[in-house]
Amino acid sequence: MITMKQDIIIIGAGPAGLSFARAMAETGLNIILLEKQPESVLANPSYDGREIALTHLSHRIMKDLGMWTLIPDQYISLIKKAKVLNGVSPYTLNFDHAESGEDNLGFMVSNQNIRKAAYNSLSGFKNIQIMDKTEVSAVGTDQDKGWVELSDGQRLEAPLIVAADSRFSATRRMMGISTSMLDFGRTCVVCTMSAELPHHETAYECFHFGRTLAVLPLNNNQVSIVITLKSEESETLLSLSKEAFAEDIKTRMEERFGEMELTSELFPYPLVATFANSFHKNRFVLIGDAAVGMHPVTAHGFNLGLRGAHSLANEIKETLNIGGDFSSHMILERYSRQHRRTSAPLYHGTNALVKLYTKETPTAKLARRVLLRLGNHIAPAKRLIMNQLTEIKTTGF
Amino acid sequence: MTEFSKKTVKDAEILHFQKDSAEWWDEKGAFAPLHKLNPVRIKFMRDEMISHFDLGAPTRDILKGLDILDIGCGGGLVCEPLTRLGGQVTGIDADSQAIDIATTHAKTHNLNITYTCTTSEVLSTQKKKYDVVCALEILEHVDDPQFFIKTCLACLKPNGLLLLSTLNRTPKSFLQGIIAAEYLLRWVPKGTHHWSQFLKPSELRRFLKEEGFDINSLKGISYNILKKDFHISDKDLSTNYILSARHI
Ligand SMILES: Cc1cc2nc3c(=O)[nH]c(=O)nc-3n(C[C@H](O)[C@H](O)[C@H](O)COP(=O)(O)OP(=O)(O)OC[C@H]3O[C@@H](n4cnc5c(N)ncnc54)[C@H](O)[C@@H]3O)c2cc1C
Repeated sequence: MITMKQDIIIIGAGPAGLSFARAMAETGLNIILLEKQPESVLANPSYDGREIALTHLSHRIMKDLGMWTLIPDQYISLIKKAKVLNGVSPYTLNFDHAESGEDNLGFMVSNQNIRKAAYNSLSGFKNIQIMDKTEVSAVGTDQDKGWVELSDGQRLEAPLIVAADSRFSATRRMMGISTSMLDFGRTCVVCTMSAELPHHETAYECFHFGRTLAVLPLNNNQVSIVITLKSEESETLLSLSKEAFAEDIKTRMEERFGEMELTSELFPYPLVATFANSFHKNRFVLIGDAAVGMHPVTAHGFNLGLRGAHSLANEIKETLNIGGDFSSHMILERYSRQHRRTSAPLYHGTNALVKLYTKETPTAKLARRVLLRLGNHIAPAKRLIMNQLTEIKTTGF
Repeated sequence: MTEFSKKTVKDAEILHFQKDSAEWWDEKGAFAPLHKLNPVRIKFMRDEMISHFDLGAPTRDILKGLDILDIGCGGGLVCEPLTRLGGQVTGIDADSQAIDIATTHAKTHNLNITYTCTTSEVLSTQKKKYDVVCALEILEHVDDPQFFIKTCLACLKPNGLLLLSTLNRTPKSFLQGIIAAEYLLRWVPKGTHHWSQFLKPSELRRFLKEEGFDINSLKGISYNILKKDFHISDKDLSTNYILSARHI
């Protein structure tokens, strides 16, 4: 058995794994990415229905990493306003970019285009290698190094193993890291539609009849539709005809967009939120969804993953500059502490919000009404929400 | 008997450290505070070397070409980063167990470092001289600091740089270094320090001047209890301080 030596092994070449690799590329460290899927899929990922709302901080990081310029302009849509609607109540919570001091609240880019840009941003870096169609069958670490065994019997060693293998991370489990999981018993169905009337670059989040519906503005008067509903109801929704589905959305949006037409397949995602109870062990660290798998309703998932990948890369780079051991306990602990501090409130906040907005008890309904009104009238509360959503004021990067 | 055959290292001190030798690289063990302190002092040392030898903008092998001697290297906490930065490093310690641990650890981490169990007084009589001599957190453990500094300087090349760090002798260092660090926080093994042996920067400067050297840069290292981190301070020299010195 040949043992290959690397500086860093990254498990999973999803958006988090690829972004972290890119953030480390200029250090010259030898990095290997292990990925189940074939490289041709990474280079040309298919559309998966996810339109990712990116914050200003993510925009900045992606620019720094040379990923942003790889996304053609026509695939970047802007969100300028956001409205939160509660049931049939006419009252809405409004956010406007003008209040934020920026010319937009955030950016919309499809997961497909993010993955493609992240993959392409690695081209030309000889120190980064992708080993595709590879599954990790075992992983382990000791005081000084980590190793992985691949399904073909090969063994790789490195001072640091980074797991970016999704919220259901198998390597996290193999390392004995326990994880809190919250199965909402709900499914998220996403698709794109075209709208007859202009959307004015406004995002809508509607809490309707036990399900939530988000309508996010895309270029060319397309919108991204995100529905969350009880899993047992999703079958019915998925089996609707194109026309019936379009009619349903049109009605739920009170014909705000005029006629609507389905322009993609419907993509269902079961909703399970995860939060690893520790983000690191000896020479092993979790990033992306493997660390924190968010409920998509507040659109933090990739933003958070990118921010974590960036801060881990920064800790490592600072350590390299002073000749330190870049995968020591102290470095991983520092990343962990920082990333937990950032993500825990968002994670728990989102889960609480989801509960509040899916419960149909009278108290929950009342609380929602109060929250909406308070939000509009109390400037600091609103500013807080806005900053959380857009990360405009997040500094230190 | 030559001037340098006096013993610089107390046997009791060696024994004291030997007890915990195995823990040198345990970041959560007996030497945890040293691990926390390390990035701060390495950065200071790197920057002092860059400015003294005019090395230019920091790169990952910025210390290439420099012969560095670390006196009282322990498990190699300072030798390893300086080696990664490109330095040609020799580490010496009077504690043979620490040298064994340092040697094994460097090998595991693929670092090429020369470790020898010896003392500065022995090395100072040898022909081989160094661009940089470091003695970090050692002065407070030697019997005759003035003589010890003499042996350090004798290991330097003519344009060499000396890097020292130690504990100041102030009421605060007494409280923090001994009571807090040894007894309350259990940071370092009890009996690690003897306050009366601590040196004030002015005393150190006097010793250096007598040898034709002077302090180049002098900084404090403070501990922030809330952030649980060390940082370099221009003003607060009351507990730990670190300095560079060169020939005048
Ligand atoms: C419907 C929906 C909408 C969303 N909207 C937003 C949004 O608006 N804003 C936002 O920020 N986020 C959003 N997200 C979240 C975002 O998509 C995720 O956070 C992001 O994709 C996570 O990236 P990742 O790289 O951590 O994990 P993944 O994308 O899950 O990638 C994991 C990779 O690891 C590989 N892998 C897994 N196991 C192994 C193994 N054993 N060996 C080798 N390879 C392996 C997989 O093949 C995959 O390539 C949304 C998610 C959903 C489902």
